[in-house]
Order: sequence, then structure tokens, then C-alpha cells
Amino acid sequence: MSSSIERTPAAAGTDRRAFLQRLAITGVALGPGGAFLASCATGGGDDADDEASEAPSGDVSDDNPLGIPTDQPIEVYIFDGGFGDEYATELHQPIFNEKWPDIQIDHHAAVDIGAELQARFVAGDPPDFINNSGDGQMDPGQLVSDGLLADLTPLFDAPSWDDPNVTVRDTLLPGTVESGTRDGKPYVLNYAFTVFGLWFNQTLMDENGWPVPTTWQEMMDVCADIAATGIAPWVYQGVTAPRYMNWPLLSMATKLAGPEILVAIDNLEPGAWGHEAVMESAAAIRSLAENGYFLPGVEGMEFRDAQGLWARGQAVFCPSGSWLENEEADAIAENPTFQLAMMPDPLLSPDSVMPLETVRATAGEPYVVPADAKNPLGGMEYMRAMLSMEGARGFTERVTSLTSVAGSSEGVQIEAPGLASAQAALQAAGDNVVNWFYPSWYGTMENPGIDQATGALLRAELTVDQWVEQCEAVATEIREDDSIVKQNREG
Amino acid sequence: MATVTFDKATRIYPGTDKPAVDALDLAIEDGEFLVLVGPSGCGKSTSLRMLAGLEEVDGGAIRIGDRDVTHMPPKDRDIAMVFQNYALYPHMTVADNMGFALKIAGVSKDEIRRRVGDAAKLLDLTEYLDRKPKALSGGQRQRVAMGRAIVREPQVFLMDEPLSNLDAKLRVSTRTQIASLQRRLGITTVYVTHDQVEAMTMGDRVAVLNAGLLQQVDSPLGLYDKPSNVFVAGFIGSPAMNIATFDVKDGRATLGNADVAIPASIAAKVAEEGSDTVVLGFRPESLTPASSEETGGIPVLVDVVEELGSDAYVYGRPAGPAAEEQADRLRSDQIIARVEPRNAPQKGEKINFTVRQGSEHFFSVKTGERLEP
Amino acid sequence: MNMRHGRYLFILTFLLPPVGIYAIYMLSPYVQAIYISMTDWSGLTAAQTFIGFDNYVEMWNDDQLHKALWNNLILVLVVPVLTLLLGLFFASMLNVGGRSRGGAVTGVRGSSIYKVVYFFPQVLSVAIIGIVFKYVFAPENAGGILNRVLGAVGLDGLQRLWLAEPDYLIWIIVLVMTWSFVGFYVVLFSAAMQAIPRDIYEAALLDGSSRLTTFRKVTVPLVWDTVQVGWVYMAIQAMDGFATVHIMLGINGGVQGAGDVLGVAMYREAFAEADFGYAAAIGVLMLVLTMVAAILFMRGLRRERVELA
Repeated sequence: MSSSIERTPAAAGTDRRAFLQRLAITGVALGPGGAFLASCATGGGDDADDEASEAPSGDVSDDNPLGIPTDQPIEVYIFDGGFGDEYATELHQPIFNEKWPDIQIDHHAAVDIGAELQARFVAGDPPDFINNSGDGQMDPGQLVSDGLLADLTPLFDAPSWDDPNVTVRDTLLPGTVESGTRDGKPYVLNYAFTVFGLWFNQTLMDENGWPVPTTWQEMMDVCADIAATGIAPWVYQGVTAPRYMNWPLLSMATKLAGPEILVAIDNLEPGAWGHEAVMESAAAIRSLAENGYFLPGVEGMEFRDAQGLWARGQAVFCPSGSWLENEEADAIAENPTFQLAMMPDPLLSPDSVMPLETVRATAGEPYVVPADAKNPLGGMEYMRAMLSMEGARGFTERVTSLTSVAGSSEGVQIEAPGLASAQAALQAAGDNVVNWFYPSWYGTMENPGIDQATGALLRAELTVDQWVEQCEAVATEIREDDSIVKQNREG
Repeated sequence: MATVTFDKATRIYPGTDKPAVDALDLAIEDGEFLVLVGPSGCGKSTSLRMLAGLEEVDGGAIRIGDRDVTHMPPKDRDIAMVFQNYALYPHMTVADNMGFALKIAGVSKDEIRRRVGDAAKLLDLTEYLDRKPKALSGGQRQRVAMGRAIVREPQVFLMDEPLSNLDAKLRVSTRTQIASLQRRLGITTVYVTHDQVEAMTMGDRVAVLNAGLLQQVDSPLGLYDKPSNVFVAGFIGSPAMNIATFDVKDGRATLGNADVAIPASIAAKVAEEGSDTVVLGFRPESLTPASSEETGGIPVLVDVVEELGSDAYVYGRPAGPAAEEQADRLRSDQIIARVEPRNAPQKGEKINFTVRQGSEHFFSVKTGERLEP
Repeated sequence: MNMRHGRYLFILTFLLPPVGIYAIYMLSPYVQAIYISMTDWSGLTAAQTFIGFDNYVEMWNDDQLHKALWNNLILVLVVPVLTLLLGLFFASMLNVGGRSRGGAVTGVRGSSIYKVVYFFPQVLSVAIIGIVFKYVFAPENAGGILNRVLGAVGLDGLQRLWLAEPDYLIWIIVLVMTWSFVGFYVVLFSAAMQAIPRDIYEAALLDGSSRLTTFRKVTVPLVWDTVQVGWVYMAIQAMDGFATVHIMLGINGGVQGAGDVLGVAMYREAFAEADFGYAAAIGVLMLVLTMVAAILFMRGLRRERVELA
């Protein structure tokens, strides 16, 4: 799955074929050499307004709560990335077809979703179900504001696959529906569940008797001990994604002052980044640079190189999400004694509003049903099948990722120690699960906006005040740009 | 102005065993016009380029005046060269072409203009000074190439077949121009050509090369009258000398019924080297038609008659009883004889030629060297 | 009259298909790009709203775009100059630069090997070059080749976190692009130089011309036509610079966006920010700049044609 949740920049990982496909599209729309398709680029029809009014449907019944047509095929596109597409063909589709044997599933896998489907959206002829993920992800915000996605409310309100008395919505972990909601309506089903925290080298900690820090003061003490041995205490994602350091930064601030500060940030409130707790947390993060606790040269490294050095024991702490174990599987496999574990971000002060166990966790890996699909209800029914206990549990077993279906990982023997510790942390957190949405709502605010400011903070080129100033400027720019549709969250 | 000396200068091209120029010994006097001549591949151009510094010298030495220039870069040798294809700079005007070397040498602009102007006047190029080479005729380009050399006022001129790209008529007029120009300027000149007429008409002395070896150096007339070996004898002179191997017996050289009296000293020398044959050469003008009864002559069947007005040349083949042997022994396919133009034979006629006494050239069968009576 | 009519018909029959193909495949995309640049098209919908010159006004005020434009100017000015100078220099060393003892006109020793080596970058894809150079400029502990070499020769003081320094980024791109272009131009100029008769060089040698003078006064003027073609071609390549920057520095143009170029900005707007309208406006800007650059170079470099004898 790699880091598709956060959409790391294409950079080195760009698949050449996908890259060329994109260039071809660019050519179509923008430049010289634009080929035959060019005539379609602007020639378009106006059937976008037809509102899928003729979407086929069947009779609503207890057995068919969405009222899908039982004989219409559905066309499915799965992103062929870290998860592969076998979980779809060998797990979800058999579950679906067991119930609906007459519905033919037209399955496709694609590495570059955008390259394959962008033109079909333009033509008003998208498939019925899309795993809109990977480097070729089509901007979900834009898809929503262009009215190209179906409202998934019927799905979430429908009875769940396993228990007619519980709605789909109620089977999901908190924050799942919210994470896919725009303008008050759920448009995106985020299926995989990611836990964020500090990942550390358990082997090194145990060998040296270093305690897992629970407060920032303890963190600084441990860092001093670690640094004394010549090992770097911290690493981050280098020149590629310094924004990963925002995660401990905002998590620690949230624990200190409560989740309201995230609401203010997400709602682009002026001064949100200047909150005392945010500044205190930023100062703490900056002190890592001041004390030389980062791996030397990390600010000039590719993220895979930095993480690789961490996995090879050159640094102890690394901020990331639960995909890290998969992403660095090769480096981790080099040393059989290497153990990694996840810890919640430490508390800045004993007087913190939220407990240490608080974690940032969110549903990711987006699945959508296009508004112009031929059979949108069929696409939603497919989602309902995915969200069955069998589908979710099987997913966790197959691809080593948690899902947003509550309790689906219970009893699943998770082999990967990192994921197991993440699962344990998530359980320990209980209701104290936080998240922020501005990176998915306003992609350019996070990257390059906040990313560049935080990068400079980590190089200690900015003071905390200057960092706040830059973050505020980035937020202001988004706030004042009328062409960007604004989102709002309540709490 | 200076002398030029090749002192056992040798050039062996990488990857070959046989020297392209083999221990060339040659002393050229100050102000002399020396022509290097020989068939293609004989090493004459290589020798010139060695002198220019465009070819390495693998052995021996080359001196200009008292300076050993063997390994000196070309620009320090104080020479100027006229190339076969002129090698004019296509992007420069005639004036710039001629002044390029001076400009590099840091000569003042006025001085350059004066010297280029003088040279242009000398070569009748004044009105073309602002033109590019592509706007000039072949003859004009040739003169620009000359001008470029003259302007330099070098110690030595080197000319590498400078006339070969001109048409026949222009070639004849230009060659006298060059020769007279050289005499006027008095600059030592080494001139390479494959055309022996050019060599004979232009050079103070001519050096004949063959297969990398110097054959003979002498004045044109010296070469003509006393070729030092069979090669020079055959190469110099137009039409070429008739050369054949004769049997020596009783103070006479015979070939079939052809019979020439030879001096006793020659017969002695032939005997001395233990041989009973001798190479005999006689120029076309040494043959005289004789009456058919006269003995000792060579009966010739006339194939072609070249009538040049002042002269006429008969080209024919042996036609007597011993014709087959005579043809075998002859170095060329035919016998050439000069005859009275007003009294020339007809094609197909049979004429008996005798060799004028005393005009024969004798060469050793074994060494090819000239045998002097 | 009738015959003339028939002749026009005949000509038209043959002229129409190529002109039609040209119009459909070449002109129409340009026209559409210009139209799209005046809309707010997201690239996802069938419909687009006409917004006049709003995108162009936005470009005028877009600091990041100014940065990209400035970087492109650096690329257009520096890369061709560096590449041409190096290309001409190497080509002339390979063909006429050697000085054997006798002073004959040949290439430097081993020139046949160099010729092959110089061409290496040309057979590598830009993607590979980009990734390789990422590691050249990486920090020492992440495999950075340059820093290791600097350390090995005792120049530790010159070690830098190259890709983390905003001020270096565009110059690194300049270096990489030049490196990747030079081989091709060496081969191109070598071909042009081989067409120059050898005796012209010999004449220059006898005229006392040094290597540098020969290069400046003889070689360069005689291959000027080729240089001009190379210059225009490279200006267009440099105006792009997309692949190198995208692969080496990422979609945001590296730290602080300091290595951004117009091509990457266009790609970013189109695919990361779903703003095809703005991207098209950037594309139109690139089109105009490229044409202007090409025309300026052609005009500025025009010289009388030289015929080799």
C-alpha cells in the first residue's frame, strides 16, 4: 500500500509508463502533439447534468436494501499498488457473487487510475466503482466539486451485510464516514485504517535499556543517551516529505490542548496555527534540530533512503503511519533481529488535556462511485460486500492492513509486529482517536504549503514565530482563494 | 631565406613496416626551386609534409638553415605552404585569408593591409580582396593560396601539387607564373608534383623519388641526359625512353636481329658483374629510320602516329623475325620514335629503325644502375 | 478554363489530406489549449466555464510561477551556452585537438574511446539520469557520491546537503541537463567537423594558429550552421526541463520550490491540483516563450552560409 494515503509526491517512484500516459493526456489537453483525442477534450457533451436519472434499479427488499438491478453488470477498477488486486478478485468479488450470481463483475486493475479514467470522466462514461488511489489519483475534492461522485448516504444508511439490524454506518470505526465527507455528504469510502505515531527500533531500545518515553522531557533524556552512543535519535522523511513531522507536532499539541485546535486549523480559522499549544509543540520539534538529534544529512535525503537508514539501525525514532512496516519490508528483512514498534506521541506536559494513549488514526484508501456510472447502486452494493465482516477480516489477513470496519481485526493473528503494536495502540486509545482533514481537503495547503514551512523549521532556518507566520500565510491563501470549495467540520 | 637539409629523414606510418620515406638525404640550396617528383605513393608528399611539420619524422633529421626543425611545431618553422586543394578558409574574405597568419603573429593592422595589398597586386587579386573563396574561380583561388604564402615572407615555400586542380591551359600559364615569381622573390621553394613535365619546366633541380627512396637529384637536363638508373630513365622524358634487355656478345649488344655496337668499357663492366646481358635505353629521338636492307635495325610496325606539328612520334611494335623475343624484352608495350613531321610514315607501315650511335644509355641488369662508358 | 479547373481540383485532392492532418493534429490542439486556458476546467468534467483572462491575471500574481519562469530563463541561457561550449570543445579535441610530436592534425589520444563514452548519457533515459544524479547529490550517509568524493580528496569543507539547499537546486539541474545533453552535441559537432577538409586545419597550423585560435577562428565559424540548429533545439529542450526537475526534485520543484520550472508547474496544476485551465495558461506561456526564444536565437545567430570547398 505504501504511503498512498498521504499521496507522497511522485518523484522517484513515478512509474515510467504511467508518467508517459500522463504526458499523453497533458498533450491532449495542453500542448503540441496532442493527438486525436484532442477533439474530445473540449468538444464534450452536456450529459453531466443528467444526474444519473436513468440509473437502473431493482425492487427494494430486506434482501436487496439498496434496490440494485440484479442482472446488470458492474464495472470495477482497482488500483494495482501495494495491496495488489487479488483481495478484490479472490475475496470481495466471490463474496459479492455468492449473493448476486447473475451480476457479472467487469474487473480491471490499473497502476495509474487517473490516466485510465480521466478521459472517461470527461466523456461522462465512468465505471461503476473505482479505487481512486496511488500516484495517479484523481483529486477527490475536485471530483466532488465537479459533481462527478455519487453521494454514498444510501450505502451508509443501509443495513449491514451481516446484520440487518445494524446500519453500515454503525459498523465502521469512528471518523470513517467523516473522513470521506465533503460539503456535508459522504462521497468517499475510506476502507483501510491507518494508525499514526512514532515508530521506533525496539531492538536498540531493549539492548541499551532505553525506556520508551511518555513525556517530551523523557524523550529529550532518551535522545541525549542515544546521541551519546553515536546513533541518531530521530529521522524524518528528508527532502521528500518533511511534513511527516507535522504529525507528531499536531498530535502532541492536540494532546496538550484538546482536539479543538485541530477544528480551528481544519476550518482555516485565522490564528489557528498560532495557538500556544501548537507553538509549544513546534518549539519541541525544533529543539530536536537545535540539539542535533536528527540523522546527519537527513534534510537532503530521499524519504526511502532516510527510512531505510532508520530500519538499518542508524536512527531510533521515525514518524509515520502503519504502512511503514510494508514500505520498508526489504530493509527490515535484512536483519532478523530487528524489531519495530509504534508508540503514541509523548505528552508535552503532565497537565495535558488528552491522555498519552491518544492516537491519530484515520480511514484511508479511497473507493468511490461515480455519479455518471451506469450502475451506481451496484457499485455501492459492492462496497457493502467489502464492508462485511468476512470481507474486512480477509482484507486484513491478506494485505496486512487494518480496515475501518470496527472489530474486524479482532481474533486475526497479525504477524507483523509493527502492525500488531499499532492495533494495540488503537485499542488502548479507545475513543481518544483524533485526526485532521486539511491535507485531504486542501492538498496544496499541506504540500507544498505547510510542508515547506515545516521543512525550514526542521533545518532550524525558521524560528517558531516565523514558522507560525508562514503557516498562517498558507492558510490565509487557501481561505481567500474563492476558487477553492471550503469544507467545515463541527468537532 | 635558407637552405633545407634532409638528413636521413625517415617516415614509417604506424602499422606498416616499409618506410614511406626511407632515409632521405637531400640538400636544397638557398633560393633554389627544387621539385620532388615521382609516381603516386612514392613518398614525395610525405617528404614535403615532414618538412612542413605535418608528419612525424621517425628517424634522421630535417634542418632549415642551421636550425634543426625535426620535432619543431609547424608554426615555428618559418615556412608557408600551398595546398593541392588550396585549403582556403571558406568563411574569410580573400584579404582575411591572406592576412590570417600575420594577424595571429600580432602584426599591426596597417602592416597587414600593406603586405596583403602588395601580394594582391603581385598576383593580380586586388579587386577580389573582399570576396569569399566561393566567389572565385579555380585559378583565382590558386592565386589566393599563393598570396597567403607570399604574405608570410617565409624562409621556405612548400607547394603540394598546386596546379593539379587547374585545367590544362591554365596549368601551363600558371606554372610559368609561379616559376618566375619564385625567381623574383628568391625564396627557397620545395615543389611536389607527379607531372614530370612540370618538374622539368619549373625546377632548378629535380629530385626523383620512387617507393620512398630518392633516385636522383639533378638539373632537368642532367636527369634527361644522364639518368642514374632505369627508373629515372623511364620516368623522365616525354614520350618515355625505350628500354630493353640486350644480350652482350663480342662487344655488341643484340636482341634478335637488332644489333648495337657497345663501348668496350661497358662490355667489360657487364662481364665484371658476371652477366651476359645489359639494359639498353634509347630515347625516341635516338631512333632513325633506315633502309630495310640495313642490318642491325629493328623492324617496327606502326600503330599510331602522333603529329604535333614541330615533331611527330611513331608508336609501334617489333615486327621482324625475332618480334616475339623483342616484345618480351621490351620494358614497355611499344617502341616510340621521333620522326620528321613532314615525312611521317603511315599507320600500318613497317619501318626499320636503327639506334643512333653513342646516344644509348646502359644500365646494369642486376642493379639497374647506370653504366658509364 | 475547364482544364484549369481540373488542375486545381487535382492539386486540392493531394493537398487536402496533409493539410487536414496538420490542422487536426497540430493546429487544433494549440487552439484548444488557448481556449482551455481561458476556462476553469478541472480536467474531469465535460463542461468548462469561460473565465476570460483570469488565469493569466493569476499567473501574473503567482510568486511560485515567477520562480519557475526565472529558473527557466536560467536554463535557457546557461544550459545551451555550457552545452555548446563543452560540446564544441570536446568535439574539437576528439577530431582535431591532438598534438602528436610531429604536429599532425588528429584527435587526442584515445579519442575513439571518448567518443563512445560521451555518448553514454544519450542512450540513458532521463529517468535514469535523474535518479542517478539524485544519488550523486545525496548526503554522504545516504550514498551521496559527490560528498564522498569530496571527503575522499580532503575537501570536506565543500561537502553540502546539495538537494536541501534552495540556492543550489537550479544549478544542479543546469549541471545535470548539460551533462545529459553534451554527448549528443559532441557527436553532432563531430560529424560537422569531420566534414571540414583536414588541410584547412593544416593551413591553420602552418599559419601559427594555436588550438584555441583554431577553435575560435576556424572550427566554430565552419560548424556554425550546426551550432545554430543545436542552439535552437536546446533552447526548446531547456525551456522544458520537465523530466529532469520532476524526477530529481519532485512535483513541487524541491525545497521551497526553488527548483521549479514551468513544465513542472503545468503538470502540478493539471494533475495534482486538477486545474487544467491554469495549466493550459502556463502551457500557452511556454509556447510563446519557446517561440520567442527560438526566433531570437535564429535571428541573433544568423550568419552567412559557409560552403566548404
